Amino acid sequence: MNIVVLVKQVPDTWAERKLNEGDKTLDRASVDVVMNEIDEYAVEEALRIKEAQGGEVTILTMGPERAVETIRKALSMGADKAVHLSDEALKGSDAVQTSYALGKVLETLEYDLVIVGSEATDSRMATMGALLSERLGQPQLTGARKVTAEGGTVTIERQTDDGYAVVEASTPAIISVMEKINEPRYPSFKGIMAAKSKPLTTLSVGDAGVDEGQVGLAAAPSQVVEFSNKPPRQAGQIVKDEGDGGTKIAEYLASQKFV
Amino acid sequence: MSVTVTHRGTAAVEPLEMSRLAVVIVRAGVLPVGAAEAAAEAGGRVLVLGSGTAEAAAELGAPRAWHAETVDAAPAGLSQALVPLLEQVRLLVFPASPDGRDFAPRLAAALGRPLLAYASSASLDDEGVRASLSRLDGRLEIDVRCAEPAVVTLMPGVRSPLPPSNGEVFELVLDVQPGVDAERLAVLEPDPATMDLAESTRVVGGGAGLVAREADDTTARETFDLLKAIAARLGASAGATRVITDAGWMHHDRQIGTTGVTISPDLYLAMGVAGASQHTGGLGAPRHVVSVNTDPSCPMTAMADLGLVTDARALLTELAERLGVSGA
Repeated sequence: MNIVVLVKQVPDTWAERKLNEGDKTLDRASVDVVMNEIDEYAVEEALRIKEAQGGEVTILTMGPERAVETIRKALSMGADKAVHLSDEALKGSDAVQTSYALGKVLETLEYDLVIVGSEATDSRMATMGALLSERLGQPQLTGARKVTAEGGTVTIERQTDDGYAVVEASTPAIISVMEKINEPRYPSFKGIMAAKSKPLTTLSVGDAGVDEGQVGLAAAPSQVVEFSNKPPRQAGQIVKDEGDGGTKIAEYLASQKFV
Repeated sequence: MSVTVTHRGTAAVEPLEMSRLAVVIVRAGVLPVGAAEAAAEAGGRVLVLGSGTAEAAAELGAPRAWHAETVDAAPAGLSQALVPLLEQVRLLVFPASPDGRDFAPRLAAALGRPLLAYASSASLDDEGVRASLSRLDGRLEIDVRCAEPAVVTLMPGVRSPLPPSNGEVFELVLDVQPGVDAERLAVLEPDPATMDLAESTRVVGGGAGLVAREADDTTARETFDLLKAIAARLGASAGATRVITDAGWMHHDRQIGTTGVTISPDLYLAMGVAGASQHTGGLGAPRHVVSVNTDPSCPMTAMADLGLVTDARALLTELAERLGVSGA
């Protein structure tokens, strides 16, 4: 079973994240960057399926040059090869534009499954699985806490408002996974060394057949008018417990009409 | 007044012609959190889809509502059926409920429109759509403008709903053709104790500060059973940090944080929670935060409306006594 895993490089959530003053895009240059955490679970799930049934795992990343670091990490976990869509023209693309560009690359790859993490820590939009399903006309299996792939069929357990649903589709299909699905492995030393020689294809928008006029900040349908950093919540009242802590909490809850 | 307008067959569906419309997906007539707010943000016009839509539309009490039973419709078929119906509407507002968040991107892609996710407000004027978006775990507020029609998901808890009105309700019959979709084979029973966390308006969260360093597994379990009992007494859901769920003292479904459940309650009572960014990132914008921790400078206490500097374990016991609850 051949699997493509979408992996995104994001600013570390520990870092001070901000927008660029000039073009009002996320500052990805001056901060520490890491692989989006849930994407590690997506890579792990793909590797487990591959280890059980054979096939190849391909990493697909859209992002600036330095996203190669994140791609290498996925390769060192055990993925076989990678495609890096990297072009200055893509900078500032919104989610719908990004799904168009990634969809163009996916159309050139042969796969049974596309696996994405349920959301990225920078945008938290949790939209890519649904967007790609619509674009590629392939079944949407979002929010998976368990994946079983066999032959031409993939079955997931999906978290919903009213419980868990068991949902099945024929391949090729698009899956987004939740964090609860597995425990990602750490790259081994051997894996890290091997990653250096694994095939990595870098594509420009031209190479990928992406229409430059449909991506990037200039073509983005929405423009940031202004932005403001919200100050952290102002500290409220801090009191020491003098044996009446329970009373203080009770009084607070009562004053805010919670009890 | 209830009016039934029946269209059969996709071709017969007249496009809806208002400029703003909320779209709410319901299951068995149950409205998701934020439904009434989305309807209000769209000027009181709402389309209710799913199952039990007639009663849900009635419950919303919006000035003008349309409803269509699309019980077993899967996303691909549904998005295709909705395109002709909604292509005239310039601002579509979904509540950012699980179903709304799941379906809004598909409809945006099918309509070829931008998706403005997690908005705290959305409006329409001569120049197009304007929205405020919350980003970077609520630390950044972005005002965006969009000259084209757009699809928006609206965060719950950002505005008040309209006063209920006895508006008109129209029934639509959508002809949803099978799309390239997944098939639902079974629905597993939800765990009633955990399914409500994301939508709960009150949450009591427990962290490592509730567990003594030398505590054995049984003692730790009892502590979190007590936390759940206290939460239940306060009409709240119990949550925990990742350390606690990883240790198995509470189920993984209870983990609040960037990699767990995202909540945005009216009240967050944090017991022995230091407030690492992975945890607070899952808090959204709680209206009231109470933090109980021995460390007065920990991030959780720093962001609290009331920070009580004391041992959370002892206070948990005291609260239990006051409320007359036991963990058993």
